[in-house]
Order: sequence, then structure tokens, then C-alpha cells
Amino acid sequence: MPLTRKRRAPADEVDEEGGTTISSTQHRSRPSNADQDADYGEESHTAASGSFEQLSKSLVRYALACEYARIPIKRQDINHKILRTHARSFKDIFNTAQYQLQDTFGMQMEELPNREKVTVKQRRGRYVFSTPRCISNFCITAAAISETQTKGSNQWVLKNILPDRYRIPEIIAPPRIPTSEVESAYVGLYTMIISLIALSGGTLPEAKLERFLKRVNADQSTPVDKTDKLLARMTKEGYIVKVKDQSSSTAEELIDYMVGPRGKVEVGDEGVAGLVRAVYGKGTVPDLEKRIERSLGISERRVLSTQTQPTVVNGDGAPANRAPGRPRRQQNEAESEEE
Amino acid sequence: MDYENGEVDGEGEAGYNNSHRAFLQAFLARSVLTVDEIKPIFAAVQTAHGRPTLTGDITEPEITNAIHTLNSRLSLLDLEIRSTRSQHQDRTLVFALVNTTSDPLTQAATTRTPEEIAFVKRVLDAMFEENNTPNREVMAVQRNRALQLARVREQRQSHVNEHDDEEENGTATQTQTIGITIPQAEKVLRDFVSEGWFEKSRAQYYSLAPRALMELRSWLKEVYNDPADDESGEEAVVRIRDCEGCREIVTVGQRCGNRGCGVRLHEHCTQLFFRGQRSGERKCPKCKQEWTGSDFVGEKAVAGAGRRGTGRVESEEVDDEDE
Repeated sequence: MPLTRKRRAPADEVDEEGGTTISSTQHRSRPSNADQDADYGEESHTAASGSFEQLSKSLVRYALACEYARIPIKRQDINHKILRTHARSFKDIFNTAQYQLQDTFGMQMEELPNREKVTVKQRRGRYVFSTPRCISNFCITAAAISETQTKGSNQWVLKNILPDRYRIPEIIAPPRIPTSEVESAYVGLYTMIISLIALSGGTLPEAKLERFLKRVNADQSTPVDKTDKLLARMTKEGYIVKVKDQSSSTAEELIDYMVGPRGKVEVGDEGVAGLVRAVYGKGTVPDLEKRIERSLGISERRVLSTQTQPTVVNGDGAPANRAPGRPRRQQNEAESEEE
Repeated sequence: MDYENGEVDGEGEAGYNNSHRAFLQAFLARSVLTVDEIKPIFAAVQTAHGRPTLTGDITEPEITNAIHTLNSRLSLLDLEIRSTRSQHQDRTLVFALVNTTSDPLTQAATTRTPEEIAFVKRVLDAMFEENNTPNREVMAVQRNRALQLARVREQRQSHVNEHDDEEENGTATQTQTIGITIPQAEKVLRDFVSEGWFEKSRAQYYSLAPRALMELRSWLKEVYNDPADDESGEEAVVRIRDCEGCREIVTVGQRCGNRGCGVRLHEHCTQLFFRGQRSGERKCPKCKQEWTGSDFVGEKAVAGAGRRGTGRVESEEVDDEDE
């Protein structure tokens, strides 16, 4: 939740930029330095304030700042920019910050699922074993599976954890980045596209997406931006993932869209189901709920997740989405490359 | 931790509960809210919290109370919900969630590019230096002038090096045109207005909106007010002044007719301020000169200085004065 919009005080950044005459108090007190990352919080966060409270405070503020720009909160960045010499205390500080976010804001950092290993090349790569269906020469050992599963992505996004009754548009409106209207349009568009992908079995060929967008007259431009730029932004922000598959036989490039990590956490099955319910309306389709479950493969995933390892927050998306029976495409045969 | 399952408990210490959290999230999403915008939100929060409430039931003290509770939490994080009244006649009460410290981390949150930020800085300079001379404290910048600032020629390298000793001799001085395109600049200005940083007047002047004044209160003074320097004998330059009445920054209001006097008052504050003086006299509290009521700060200062011509000519004249 974009707290940080306010932090984006025009001036704050300004002084960074030129490094000229203008300095906030903090800056003034130290020599100007081109490398901001390295230079962060030199005095305020190491000497006097390497304290636990200071560090967790910085982490909370950092989390809010990231959310504003829709950048994932990365462990690496936390260590580099906030903890520095205190990187060993990561877990404690993270937990404290998490508690503050929950207690003060009603939000929490939710770990993003690992990137799915969607292409053969990737699957042959470092984490070969993420799919049970993998038909490579590598054998799937229990150890390998548990490794990919227990190892989180070490990236988080903020998620609202207030009860549903508080999460109504009258209270929490789409933030003004830059305006509520544009932001609403953006939220609506990515929710729709994620729903289309999820309901198509988790993978949607580019041509099909284009067709869907054409139906809603959004194939060229949208209230947010030109369609191609919009999709690029969604990809960048992790709502969707663009997968390029170089078909070995035809040399034709096939592009598929899948739901990205942020999309899974922020919209997720629940969001998709919500959209479907809103579109179909109450009581129009008797077994709507069952249909939703089936289309999203929820029940299958439940079975699968009980079989495997339910400990990870979001798990490794791969095994779940590779659930048997769901429409899967040519990827096993295709030599491919993710963008 | 109890929170592992994502369930927040209802009532925390000191009565901090989900209604506060929801209210805070509303602030996070909007960051600046007028009191009339807050009321329906507050009513919705109360209703969700199990106390059906209508917008009309909400009183200002209730809001202030809730904000007080929030601030006790936010202060631990160097955040604060501040309030101020608009400097215009309507005197709308405006609340904003502001950062009480600024650090590079939170700056990373910006969705703006460094070039855009540099442009905004140039616009601010135009407001508070170029268009803020002892004779005319306009503290606003005309749209045309602002757009001219989209691109500038600058000797960039040499400047940076002054601060960067190690590379001082590494790079040559060069003049280059830097900046952003006019359409980009237009978009930045538009966004800054809709995000509550800038206000745009009917005469196409941009000035700082209440949100910016709240957040940048100390920054503005730090940047644009130069303290006296004993060594070089330079006098202090005060470009940003507070209202003698309410102690908030004046960018729209009245000034003492005496050019050398630093007393400023908001339009509204003059009424309260002079009511306290005897026999209906209106005298400057410092220099005791008659308060004219026709010497202005803000856009009105353009007309007040007795100049003719269009706004564009005005701003160019100001340029010349500065040089």
C-alpha cells in the first residue's frame, strides 16, 4: 500500500538528484556521494542507530516505499540498504517489522512465489526438478523437490490483512498514483487479464489474449496507456509473465502469458473468483462456485499441496500448476527461452 | 507470532483497533484528504467496525481524536498526519500523511525519473527564487514559464565534481541540454496537481498546494532561506516566511507595505490579527507602519506591483531582475 506517495515529496528527491546546493539535513552533514545505495544512512543507521528499533523502523518504511512503486521487497536489498553489518539479524528484524506492519497498518509482507520454471531450458537449468512431469534425464529426488519448495523467493509484497468488511471502496480507494481514476483502470485491467489467464488454465497464448482484448476494445489503447505499454508495465511489476517459446520445428516464436508472482499474491484465485462472481451475478448459474473451483484447478491444487509441502507461504508455483488434467501446452517438447 | 495466520486481533493496546488500521490505510491510499473527504471514509470505517454511522454524524473532534491515536503510532515510524488550512478564502481543512524525515530509501519509492524530479526542482526554484523577489513575492510560476523549464542547458559535469573530489579531474566540463520533453513536463505538472502537490490557478499559475506545504515545511526554509554568513558578510536571505498569525508558511496572503519588513499574514489571519488591536488601527506589528491590505504575496502580487502586460512578459521581466 503506497504509503510512500507522500514520501515522494518533490523536493526530497530533488536534492538527491543534483547533489548541488540543496540538501536535507541528513545530506548536509555528510559529503555528497554519487552512490546512493552505498551511502544510505551512513550516520543515522550505523553508529547511533544500529539499534533494533531503528532497523525495524527502516524496514517498515522501506516496505511501504517499495509498495508505492510496486517494487518487490527483496531480502538482498534489505541486507544491502538497511541491515548492512547487521545482516545476521535479518530474521528477528524482519519479524519485528512484520509485526509493526500488521499491528499498525493491518498489512503484512507476503512472500512472492518462486518463478515458475516454465520452459524446458529453465527446467534443465539449476532447478531442474521443479516439475514432476519433467521428462529430462535428471531424476527427481525427494531432496531436490524439497529444496525448491522450502527455499522461498526472498521477495515480498505488502498485503492487506484487514477483515473483508473494512476492505470496501468507500474506505480503501485505489491510490492516487497519479489519480484514482487511472489507478482504478489499471487495477481493473490487470485483474481482468489475470483472470483470463487463470481461467485459461494458467497459460494464455498472446493471440488469444489479443482476441480477448479486442472484444473489450482494449487491443490498441486503454485508459491507462497503449496496450503494449500496459502489458509491459504489468510484466515489469510482476502481475503477468511473458514467456517466449522458440518452437524448435517451426522457428516461430510463440508468446504465452502466465500469472506473475505479484499477480498471484495480489489477485490470486480469490480475486479471480470474485471477478467471475461479479460478472455472472448471484444465482444465475447454479453451480458457479464449483465451476470456478474447477476452472482454477483449486481442488486439484489442494490435493497436490497436501501431498507435498504446505509450509511455504506460496510454495513453488510450479508443481501446483502442473497438476495433472489441466490443459497444458506444448512446452515439454519446445526448446524455449523466457524473456 | 500470533499473527502468523494473517489474523489481526481486534482490540490492541490503547484502543488501537481495526478501525484505526482501516482509516490509516485510507490515508495511505490517498495521502491528502480534505475534512469533507474524510467524513464519508470515517463513517464507512465506523460502519464496518459495527457502529453504523452516517457521514453527517461525523464531527471534527472525532476525526482529530482518531488522527491523534494514529499519530501516536506513526511517530515511531517518522510519519505523521498533519493538518493545515488552505490559504485561500475557503480555508478548507486539509490532512496529509507526511514523512517527518526524508531518506534515500523512501525516495526510491518515487515513480518519477531523476530527470522529472530535476524538472520539478527547477519549477520550485522558479516559484521561490525567480518569482519571489523583494518587490514581488509571487511564489507561483506561470504554466508557460514552467514548461520552458522542461529543458535546460547546463554545465552538468563540472558541477557534480565539486562535490566529488575523487573524480574531480576525471571529467571535463561540458555544456549539454538536459531535461524532459514538453509533453512529459505537461504530464508531470498534471500529475503533481492531481496528487495534491501543486495547485493551478485560473490564470494558469502553479503554486504549492497544502500537502506540499505540510510535507516540505522545513525543507523549503532550509533550501530557500540562506542564513547570514558572518565570514563573507553576506546578509541573510529569507525567501520563505511564516504568517504572523498562524505561524504557517505564507505563499498566498498579505505583506507589510514596508518592503524591508518581514511581516506576512494570511488573508484570513489579518482579520483575526487586527481585531485584537485597539481603535481599529491596522499597523504592522514590527515596523508599526500602516498595514495597507493591498500589498500581496502570491499571484496577486503580479498585479499589485503595478505592472502591465501578459503573464509571460511578467515572468520574463522577473528573470531580468534576478540577473
